[in-house]
Amino acid sequence: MEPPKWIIKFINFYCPPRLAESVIGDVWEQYLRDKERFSKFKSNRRLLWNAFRFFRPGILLRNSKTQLINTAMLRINLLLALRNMRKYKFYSLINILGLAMSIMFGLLVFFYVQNAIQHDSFHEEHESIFRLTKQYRSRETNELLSWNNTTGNQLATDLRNEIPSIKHITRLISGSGYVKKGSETFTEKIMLVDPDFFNIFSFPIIEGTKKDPLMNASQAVISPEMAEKYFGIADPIGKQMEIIVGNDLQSVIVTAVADPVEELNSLPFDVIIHIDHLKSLIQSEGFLIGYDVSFLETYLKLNPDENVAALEQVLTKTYARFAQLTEEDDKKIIKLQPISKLYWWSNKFAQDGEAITYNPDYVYILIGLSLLVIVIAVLNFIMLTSSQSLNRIKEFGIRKTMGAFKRQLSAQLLLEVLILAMAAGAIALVATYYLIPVFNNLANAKLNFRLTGELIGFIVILISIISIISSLISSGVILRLKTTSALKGTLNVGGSSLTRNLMVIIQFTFCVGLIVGTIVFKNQMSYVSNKSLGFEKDQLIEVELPKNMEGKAAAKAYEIFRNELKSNPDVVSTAATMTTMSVVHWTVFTFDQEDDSQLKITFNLVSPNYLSTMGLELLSGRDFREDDTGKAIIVNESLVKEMGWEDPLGMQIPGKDFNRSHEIIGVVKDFNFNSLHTEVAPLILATDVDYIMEGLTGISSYVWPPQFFTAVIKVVPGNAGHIAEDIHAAWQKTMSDLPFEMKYVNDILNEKYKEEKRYSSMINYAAGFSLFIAWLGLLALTRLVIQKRFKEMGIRKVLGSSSFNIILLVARKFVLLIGVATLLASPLAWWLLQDWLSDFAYKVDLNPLIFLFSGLAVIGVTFISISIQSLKISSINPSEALRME
Amino acid sequence: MKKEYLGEFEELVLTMVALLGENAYGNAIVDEISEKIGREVNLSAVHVTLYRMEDKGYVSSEMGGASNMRGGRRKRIFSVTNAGLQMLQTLKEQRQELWSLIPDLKFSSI
Repeated sequence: MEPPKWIIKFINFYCPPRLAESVIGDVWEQYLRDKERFSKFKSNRRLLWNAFRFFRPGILLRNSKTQLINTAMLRINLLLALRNMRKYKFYSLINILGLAMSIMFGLLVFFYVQNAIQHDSFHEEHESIFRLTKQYRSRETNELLSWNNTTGNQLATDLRNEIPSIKHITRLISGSGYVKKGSETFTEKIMLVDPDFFNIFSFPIIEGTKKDPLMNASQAVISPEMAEKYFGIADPIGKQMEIIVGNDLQSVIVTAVADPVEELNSLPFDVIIHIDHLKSLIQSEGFLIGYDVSFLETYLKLNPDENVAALEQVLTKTYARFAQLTEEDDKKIIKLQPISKLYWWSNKFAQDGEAITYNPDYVYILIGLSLLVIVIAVLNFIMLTSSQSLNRIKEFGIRKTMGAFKRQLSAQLLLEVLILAMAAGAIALVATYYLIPVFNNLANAKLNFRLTGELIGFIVILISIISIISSLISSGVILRLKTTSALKGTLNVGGSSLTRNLMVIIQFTFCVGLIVGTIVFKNQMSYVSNKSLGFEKDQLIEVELPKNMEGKAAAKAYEIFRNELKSNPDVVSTAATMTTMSVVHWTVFTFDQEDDSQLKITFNLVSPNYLSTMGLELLSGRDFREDDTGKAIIVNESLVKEMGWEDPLGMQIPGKDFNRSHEIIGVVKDFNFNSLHTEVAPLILATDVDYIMEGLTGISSYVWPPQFFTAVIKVVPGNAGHIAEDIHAAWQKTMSDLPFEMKYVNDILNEKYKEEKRYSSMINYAAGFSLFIAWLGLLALTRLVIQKRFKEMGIRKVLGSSSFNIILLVARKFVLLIGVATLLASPLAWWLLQDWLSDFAYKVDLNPLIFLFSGLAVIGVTFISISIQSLKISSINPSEALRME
Repeated sequence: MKKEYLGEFEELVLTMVALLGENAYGNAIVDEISEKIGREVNLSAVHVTLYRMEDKGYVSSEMGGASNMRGGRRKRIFSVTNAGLQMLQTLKEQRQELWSLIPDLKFSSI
């Protein structure tokens, strides 16, 4: 007959003891009466409901209220806090401003990191979606040779039949292709996938078939942007779309409109079509079967409870069987990359591929900087509150004499800090809301301001940490002071306190370190962007050649286009190339050697006058001639170095499968075609791929087939607008209505290093930001020191001291502190920067003068801040200072 | 000192306490409200209101008898103080005065 014990215990737990007995009694009584009327289950439920209803402030806080929060004291403390804030407007303002700025910075970084972490997580069961990648390891040493994200065409199909635990599997390859709208043609990003793609990825289908929208080669799924572009406001479902894939014009029916979830997706698309279209893209049959040639990516979805490590081993074995790997080959180990790792670079996987990737180093720098900004703001806060509280030392003295406990005074300080921090937090939230578009622009991010629980939690934790730490330290400083001396006024208020000096040193250490870091960062960035790349990038224009022609036709089209340009006096020369400077990952060929080792060399197909057009320098041998056969190849310095050739001219690329002879006719000076992060890789330039292809045993490529995709045009300086028109006119004359795209190589290179530039400017802003906050603190601190010594200065002035002497007097101590800070900061900054620079193949030296300069800069700024404030004293009549009481 | 007011629910509970006399405790008041005016109220609401009025000085309380029905717990019996009675009285007079000021109440159907 008794109610469940735990519910009674629960009430007993929260109910104030005075009320507990009668409350439980009443609840008990009602329960017994309920049981007469209702079932046991319902009575229990009603009892529980009652227990929860009693869990309310009116009960919880009754009587115990006085112990929990002293409302009377709270009111007074609140009043005092507000009064103090009003009285010391300047300090409160600096405190709030500094805190608000740092919290805002923290919030922006929070949004940024949140977006990066949430990338690709919108897919259902995203934990069980993987990209299939290959690791190449040496058979002898197990050393990691390289990674590869691409696989052969046949793998996905074979695996689907072979391994039942793979629920879904799709091939994925994308590239730009043409889409026709009436007589016009546009370039769009086209993605070729298996129908299973939509079982793996859950891009929201906005319109059309939700399940299996892509069944066969005559269907297409498009993005909303495409729907609007090609069909306007009309319903795109069931409409026909004309796409040029490879050489073929295909007409497909739009079956669905899928949202590419731009802000969170690393696999962007405009149009998705069936993988069967691959046939039009790649003619050579050998590519579509077999395992030697890797050119597309494979994604798969497993059961949620699948053992990934075990499956990786099974896959590795199966792969070896399919690809007929022998004991002599490098080990190829299959690794499954979770799609949550697509966006963030990770050391465990290769970074190239279809997915947009992202270097987390810069995020760590940003997180570090935001922490630094917050620490600086907190330091400001502590220094200001503790020093400024010395003004209120009498207040505390009196309160202590009247019987206030230390705990109560600490509570008051905490409350004051909390009010300031909350005000700062509110300002920061509003500011962030308005700054997010600016930030998006600066960082090329797609962040949305969403008031989520995570955000609120973050800001609450941030504010609490800031308030607790700063109030603890400042109350430690203030309350240590003796009550009697506080009241007598004998306390040396302007005097030095070890804690404060320490904080000033820490603050200045950060400042010096930041300045050093910013300078080195900037130097490195400008070094990278100004470094000679080994070719003449100025006045060089790239024009995309038609994508819908096969090799011979494309070469022919290029010749006609080139002849059209020849007559133009502004055009110096025109060449054609397979891979352009805008491509980061050039096609790499693998040649098997007699000793079964593998040689990997980057390859580019070019027209004979490529070198002269690009302004590449020949080290030895000769350039291509128009009448050369395809036998002639030119290699770069790195290749010669790697092979250890004394005299490379007339030699061949070693490889056991070569029959027909090709011949090295020249060596070109290294030019940088990948990224300045890396050394220049070995390279072959050839005018005909056939002579090289026969020795080929493997390809890893995002640019294929080997044919001319781009024309490179060298023009005379000046009249750029007029040249652009001429080239366009020549294009229209020879290529009719195909889309025309031209870019200056300089712009392309800027684009290539854009991300780095963007981060460099973000980091500059952040550093400037923290320096500004630090300066605010400095300003307030010097003002405080000067105010304390107002009278002393008045006396000095009366006795004949000059203004400069007075400034020096105040500044002396700061200069000493900054000196110590510079000494502390230098090794720290040196170590951190050395670490960062080690990533670059080409880097600046760390000049010790930078450290000296940074220290001097901080001293200079300090001097100026002190001077401005001291001038006020110097300018007023000393009698005024002395009269003050 | 500002003038104290009673909320509608407070007035209801206070009236019930006055009405129940010796036997005014949580459950009895809930039952009485349900019985007299057919309104289902939650026990916790009644408790909180009673404590609030105790703070205001309109009711006082003492512990009453225990019973098996209550798991051996005693009741908290409330009684109306003079101030509470005064308040009820005032409220009633105010009501009546206001009612008398309403011009002839007629039902339109007549």
